[in-house]
Amino acid sequence: MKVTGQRLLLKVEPLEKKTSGGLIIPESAVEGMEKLNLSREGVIEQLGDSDNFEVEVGEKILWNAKMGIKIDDTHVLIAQNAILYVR
Amino acid sequence: MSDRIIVKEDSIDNIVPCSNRLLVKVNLVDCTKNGLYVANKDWDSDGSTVTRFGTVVSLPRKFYHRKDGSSFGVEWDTEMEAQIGDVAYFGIMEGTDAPMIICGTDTYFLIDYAEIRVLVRGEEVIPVNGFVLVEEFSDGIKSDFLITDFAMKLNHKKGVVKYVGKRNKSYYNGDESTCDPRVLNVGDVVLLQISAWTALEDDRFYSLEKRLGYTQGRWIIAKLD
Repeated sequence: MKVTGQRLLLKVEPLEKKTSGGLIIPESAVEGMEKLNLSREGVIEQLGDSDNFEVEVGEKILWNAKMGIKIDDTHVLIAQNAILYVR
Repeated sequence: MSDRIIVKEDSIDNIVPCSNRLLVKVNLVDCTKNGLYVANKDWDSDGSTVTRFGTVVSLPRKFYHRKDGSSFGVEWDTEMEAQIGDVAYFGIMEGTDAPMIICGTDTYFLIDYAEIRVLVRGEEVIPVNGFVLVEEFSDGIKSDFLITDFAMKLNHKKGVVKYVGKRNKSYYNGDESTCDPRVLNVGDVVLLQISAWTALEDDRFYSLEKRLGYTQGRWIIAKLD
């Protein structure tokens, strides 16, 4: 897959199915959280062919999940303007 | 209501906003004498916020213009004028809709730079993005065709220019008639396009000056003697 334009391919962690205290979160609740489209963090795996980026491959970003296209369980394609912050 | 992001207390210093946004610290919680944190007046009854200003704590690495091919870039020819430490006043919709970051008891907004109306740097008041701060007159220019109360509110307004910043050199989707005035001075009396004046702050809670509002330079349609 070769991303084009001012878009990026992100690697994202699947939503946790267990709380930090060890409680199992039911599958339906995880799906519900996905539907809420809450902003999530991801690591940039590939940049598009534009030369107008303010981020680099390998950086950790927070993206607006309402604006992403899910490629598979761990990859999302987003446009540069979906990035809220980098750290 | 805005998206709410909770981050660990030690991570806020590492956050660099992207896509023309500024990280702005806002005051949404007050502390009582006994150390109790309570939501302040800037929260609306539906859980959204109505705050209009905050302190700039982080700037983006790059500033984008739409003319460079970025769909999210600013739509006018201007420069990024914000500096860390400035108090930034933004539009009311940004106070409601901007992504919110919660870090301990501190709250931050990620504000689109194009939504910043004015920066306050010490004693200096600096309108940005081609905005002009205007004190409105109560007597609008009334049209013979507008007769209802609602329509009266839509009249052209007259105002006195109180603060002027740098003019926008051009608007990417504009034409000759939508450019900022070449010369505009504090004290000028101006006529504004319909609905082009918005109060900078709620006049119950104002922090800058009462009756001060903003308009963009291109919506000033005439200077009056």
